[in-house]
Amino acid sequence: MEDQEILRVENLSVHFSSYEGIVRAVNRISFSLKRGEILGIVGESGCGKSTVALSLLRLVATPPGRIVSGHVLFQGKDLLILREQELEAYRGDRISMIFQDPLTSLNPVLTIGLQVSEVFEYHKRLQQQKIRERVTEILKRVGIPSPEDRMRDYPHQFSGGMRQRIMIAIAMACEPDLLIADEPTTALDVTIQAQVLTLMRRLCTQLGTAVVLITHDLGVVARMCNHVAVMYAGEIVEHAGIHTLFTTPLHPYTQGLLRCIPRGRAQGRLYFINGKPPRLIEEIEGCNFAERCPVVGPRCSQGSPEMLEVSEDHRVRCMRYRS
Amino acid sequence: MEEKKPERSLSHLQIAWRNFRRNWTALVGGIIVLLILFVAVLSPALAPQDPLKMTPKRLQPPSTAHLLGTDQFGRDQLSRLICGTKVSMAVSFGAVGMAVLCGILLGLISGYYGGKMDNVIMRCLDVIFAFPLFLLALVIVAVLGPSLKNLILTIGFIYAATFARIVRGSVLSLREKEFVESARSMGARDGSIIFRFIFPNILSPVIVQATFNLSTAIMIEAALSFLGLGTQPPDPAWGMMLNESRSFMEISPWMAIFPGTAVMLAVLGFNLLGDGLRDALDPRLIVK
Amino acid sequence: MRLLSLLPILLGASILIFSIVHMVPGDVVDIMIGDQSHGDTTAATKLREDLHLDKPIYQQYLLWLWNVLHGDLGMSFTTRHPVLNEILKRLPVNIELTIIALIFAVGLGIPIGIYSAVEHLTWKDSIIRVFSVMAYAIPNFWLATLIVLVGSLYIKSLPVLSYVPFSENPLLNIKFMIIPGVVLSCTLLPIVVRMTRSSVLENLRLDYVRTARAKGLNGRIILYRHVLKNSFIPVINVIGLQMGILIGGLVLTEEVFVLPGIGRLMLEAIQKRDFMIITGTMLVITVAFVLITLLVDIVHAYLDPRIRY
Repeated sequence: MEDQEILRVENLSVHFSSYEGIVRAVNRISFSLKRGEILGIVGESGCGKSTVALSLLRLVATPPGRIVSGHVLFQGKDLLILREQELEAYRGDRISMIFQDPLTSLNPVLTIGLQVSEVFEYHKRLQQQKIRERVTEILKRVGIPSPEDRMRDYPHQFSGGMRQRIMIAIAMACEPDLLIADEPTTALDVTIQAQVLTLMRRLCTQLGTAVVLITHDLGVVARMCNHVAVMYAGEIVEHAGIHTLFTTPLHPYTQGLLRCIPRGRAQGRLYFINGKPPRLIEEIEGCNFAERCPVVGPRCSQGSPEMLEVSEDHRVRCMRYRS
Repeated sequence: MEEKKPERSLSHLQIAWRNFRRNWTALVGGIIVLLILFVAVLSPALAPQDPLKMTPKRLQPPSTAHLLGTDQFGRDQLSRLICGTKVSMAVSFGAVGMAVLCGILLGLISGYYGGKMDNVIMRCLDVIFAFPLFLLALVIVAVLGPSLKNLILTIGFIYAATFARIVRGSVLSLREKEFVESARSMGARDGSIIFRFIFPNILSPVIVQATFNLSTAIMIEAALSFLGLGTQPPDPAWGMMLNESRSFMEISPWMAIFPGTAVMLAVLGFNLLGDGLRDALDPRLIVK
Repeated sequence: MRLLSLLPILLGASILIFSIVHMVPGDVVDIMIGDQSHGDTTAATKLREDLHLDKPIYQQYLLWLWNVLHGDLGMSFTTRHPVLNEILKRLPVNIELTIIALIFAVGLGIPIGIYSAVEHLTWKDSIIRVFSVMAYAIPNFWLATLIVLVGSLYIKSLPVLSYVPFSENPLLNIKFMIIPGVVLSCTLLPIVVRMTRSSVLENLRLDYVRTARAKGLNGRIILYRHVLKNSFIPVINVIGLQMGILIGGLVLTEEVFVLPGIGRLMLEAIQKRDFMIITGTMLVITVAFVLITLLVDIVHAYLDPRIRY
């Protein structure tokens, strides 16, 4: 039961059409997650990590966006081929999502009590009185003081950290099996970040919820995750257990990221990775990272690197490790 | 930054033109407007007959001699309609032109310098906006006496208030932007800042608003003429022609159709044009 | 508290009205008496005294204001009745027209706007948009004229050009007021449709809709419970802004459909140079307009909790 696989993503690809061509935002992403685990997906802005998160629940804006291939297997069922109605039954109940900006993600004209109780109304079909109790309970659990009174307040009357807690309350209300968190702390102050993350970790451990945590902050990853996938230009370039990744990173990009973290006393200049990520409109011959890679070699511009399993909890996509 | 600095304004315009061209309703509007302006400018010459000349052929239906028929004095409707275009355009462009000049001036001063002057100006504007604007125009024109000049002055006065408000709003938001701060820190004087930085950036909303105001000005002029408060007979004006047609509706219904269509087309044309300009100049929609 | 800020505006407005009338070129009294004096100046002098025209202008203004605040809007020159009475007699017509117009504009406009937004990018939406733009461009006095035309030529039984007070016969009254009311609503309807449509479309793109979808709610619930309330806010705003145009349209509609309302009262007064009535009606209409704007603000605050708290 403990080691049961809860989510398996296979070869997920998402394209966006724009004035200038097709943007390959997500390219052949694969990963899996077991019950109760926390997976971190790290990468810089624009690498496609948010798109991956949205695709899991098919929340990508479909006029410009399109999921072109792949499978998202949740407890064995492929979410990508379900009808919209069937998928709606999963959303908010078995799989929940929280977003980056809690102010715009909450409806400004509805009370938070209503926004939380909605999930109970819709998924659990409880009595009004019972709903009130459950709402009070979950709000208390996420740390909202005097929930009975504050239920009638509106989102703008809360601070940023409180609002994110409300989002968490909404997401965890039905005790989902999987929580997708898209940069949940990026918009918050550093001190509040720590509180929210601790809350998330505690709740998810208590309820046995698996988490896919999207972030650009390696510090958050270090604190929260069991394993990490590093994304670059729409692909996963390295995927390893948390300890393994921080001690023996194999991909030059991951190594670069870790070098960027300032340690101890400041000595000399801060490290940074030269260059910019590629525009995802053109198909690039060879490795996406080649033009910025400090250890680039002649093989790196021919063919695309495949994902190689180096050990049980470590996979990497780099030409240098090809067998 | 999406604001244009003077050196980049040419490419900004080219982008705007490209957006405009893609929008077919805007093009339709533009064509209508050009046609109307063409007629208005050439109007006395374009008319097949003298619009003031009365003939014994009264209330005739459309025929080859009189394409749109004749009115109760035997005057050719088509010619009157064409000359009415000139009146309509004169009033709307005159009023909006005056309003833009005064409004920009007032808005720039009020927005940029702020303080007591801004307060006073805003209070005055508030008083003007407390009135239903059409009624205000009606009463002022009625009191001053109906004439072309008074129409232009009244409508211009009222629209000046709307432009002042819009310009002031834009100036207020631009004033705090960083490029103004940096210019000031380099020692640029107020006048120079206003002229080179703020002014080009208020042009877009002003142009769009001016186009919409042209369409409403045409409507107001027609409405006031309809009530007898526009140009006086025998000079033709669309609204007045429509009003005259009411007494003869049963005998010659077509008299009521043509002037109204003219007003509708003119208003429609400027409106579509305004929409098109707004979408074309919208910084969010500009994709490089 | 809001009311307090209105006072200086109203005061300013009254000054403006007062000064407009005093802008009349030529001597007021001479205009009013016209040719009737036949060279006899005693009547003119007396009239001048009655109207306090011999006093300095700020005194005239204060006297006038004083009277107004006591409900005395002066006497009409032409009918010799108190202006206030004349106005009150005709006010119900305007109120009724406005209510009918608002009901149609909002009652039809909002559903059409929502439908148009939901059918975004289909031919149904395009047709609605085309019609809206055309309806906006049609001068309402032309539409009114055409309807009267149709009524007199083809459908003889069309209920227009007649009026029965509500107190006499409610059904008949409504029968005659419906068409003018609908015509009046055409000044507002296309704007409501357009604003509702763009507001709904705008809201559908916002983040909170994505959250709602992530909760598993279906499209209909999202639309009706989440989006609509947010969408109405700019619509209410725009209705408030357009009320001025609606009031302007009242005058024109009354004129064409020959209804005994304030608009025609004012038009007649303009023709006969009856300045008492002109100032009186202007004052009443402006006060009403300011109050309506206040009402719109209140509704706006009710809808948007961010303003309330």
